[in-house]
Amino acid sequence: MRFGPIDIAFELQILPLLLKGVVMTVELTVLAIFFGTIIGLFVALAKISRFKILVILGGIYTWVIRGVPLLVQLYVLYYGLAQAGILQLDAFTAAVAGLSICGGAYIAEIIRAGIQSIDKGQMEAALSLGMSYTQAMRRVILPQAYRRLLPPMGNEFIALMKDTSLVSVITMVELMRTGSLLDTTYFRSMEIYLTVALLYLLLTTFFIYIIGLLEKRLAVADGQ
Amino acid sequence: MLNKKYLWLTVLVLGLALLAAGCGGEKPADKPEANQQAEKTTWEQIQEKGEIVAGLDDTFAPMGYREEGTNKLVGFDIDMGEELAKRLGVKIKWQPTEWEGVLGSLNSKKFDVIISGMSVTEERKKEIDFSKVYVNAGIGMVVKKDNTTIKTAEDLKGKKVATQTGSSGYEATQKLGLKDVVLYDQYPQAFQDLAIGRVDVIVVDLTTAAHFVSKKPDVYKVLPGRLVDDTYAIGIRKEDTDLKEAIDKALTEMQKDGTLSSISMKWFGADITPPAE
Repeated sequence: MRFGPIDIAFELQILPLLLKGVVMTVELTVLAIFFGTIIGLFVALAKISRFKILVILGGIYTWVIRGVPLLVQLYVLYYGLAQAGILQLDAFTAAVAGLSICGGAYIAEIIRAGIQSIDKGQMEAALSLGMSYTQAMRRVILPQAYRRLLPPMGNEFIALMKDTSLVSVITMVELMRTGSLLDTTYFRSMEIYLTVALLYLLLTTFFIYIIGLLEKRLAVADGQ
Repeated sequence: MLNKKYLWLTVLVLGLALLAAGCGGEKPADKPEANQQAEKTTWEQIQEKGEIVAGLDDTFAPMGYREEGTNKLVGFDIDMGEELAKRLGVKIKWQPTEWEGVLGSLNSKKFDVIISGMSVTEERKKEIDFSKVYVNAGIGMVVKKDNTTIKTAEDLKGKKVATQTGSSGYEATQKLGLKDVVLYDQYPQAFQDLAIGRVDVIVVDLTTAAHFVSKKPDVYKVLPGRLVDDTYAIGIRKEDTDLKEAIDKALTEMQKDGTLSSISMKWFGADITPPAE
């Protein structure tokens, strides 16, 4: 059966291979988002802390990581470190590390902006009520910042998911690489890459949906 | 409610994508393009412009690569291509290209021919045409100098085998039914990882192998024997039959007067060009 250039029998033949690629892509994305968010949270807190040294270190981190293409970072992590005899990472570890470190820098900026967008008086009020800085952060500032964080975080998650396609240069075989491999075997670019595109679209749609759901929940909780 | 809204959005987007694909697929049959081709063939355009554009992977040593230090394009294909162009009476312009999807780039006229140690394969023949063969190479194995456990194709099972994405080395690993294959975008990275010990063996064209091993003979060695035979030819679009004729004629001349052999001696230290009939 055919629809335009799409041959259904061929699609069914390549789909199992592509789904294997999807599993790898999802695995990388979930791990990268998890570690990236942890890194981002700590870097954001460092950047708004009272200690000058932490502010400077956090600033350097976001400056360097956001300023260097992820592709270059991956090459350094995987090939560079091993060749210099410093650290020999396997491809999966290097991929997760690269994606998390890179995602972390962007997430840090999102969190920092979110926290700083909360009126200064809130922190002053909480402190004057006798809360410690940590208590005030956890009970007053962060709950208000959450809602403002969600839309840009959704964006970042989607970007991170698509960035997993870059790790094919360090020999990871994920969705995009599976597609190119199939293409070098069958030379049917339109069918193969269109299917790859649809699979990415399905995956990113999932994030959009979850974030949308969370936004709605929080809006309800606020009585809006 | 939210659920349904997003479901509809998804269906709509997917539907649009399919529709767009359906439209895109019919373009090649459009008439204007066919007319244009009937007016002037690629070979006529090349002669008119006095320039032939050749696509190549400029990391594929020793066929075509950047010389250390100067970054100049050098190699067997470069010497052969310059000589070929001279005999065709035109200049040659080298167009480095991404090796994955190289056939698509040729067919979408990003360049006129592919001169890049391109292996003649049945799969590729379905998409493009080839000139006559100018190198008889083969696919072999490279291991670290001190390796004694890998000797034949049989020993590859269960080992970490490296090769380049979409290369004829990759095809060889598929033919051998190897499972644990690590794919590199370019061979230099595979050779680095072999030296570090990330992979056990590289399945690669013997021409490429000879080049890397000659640079670091204390690190690598080429195993004797061939996994698969392999021949190189110039990639040409199927419709460009007159261009193929002109190229084949020039190649035959270069074969007969010994030019090809001497280029082979220069780059491989041996004559691996097919003998003139």
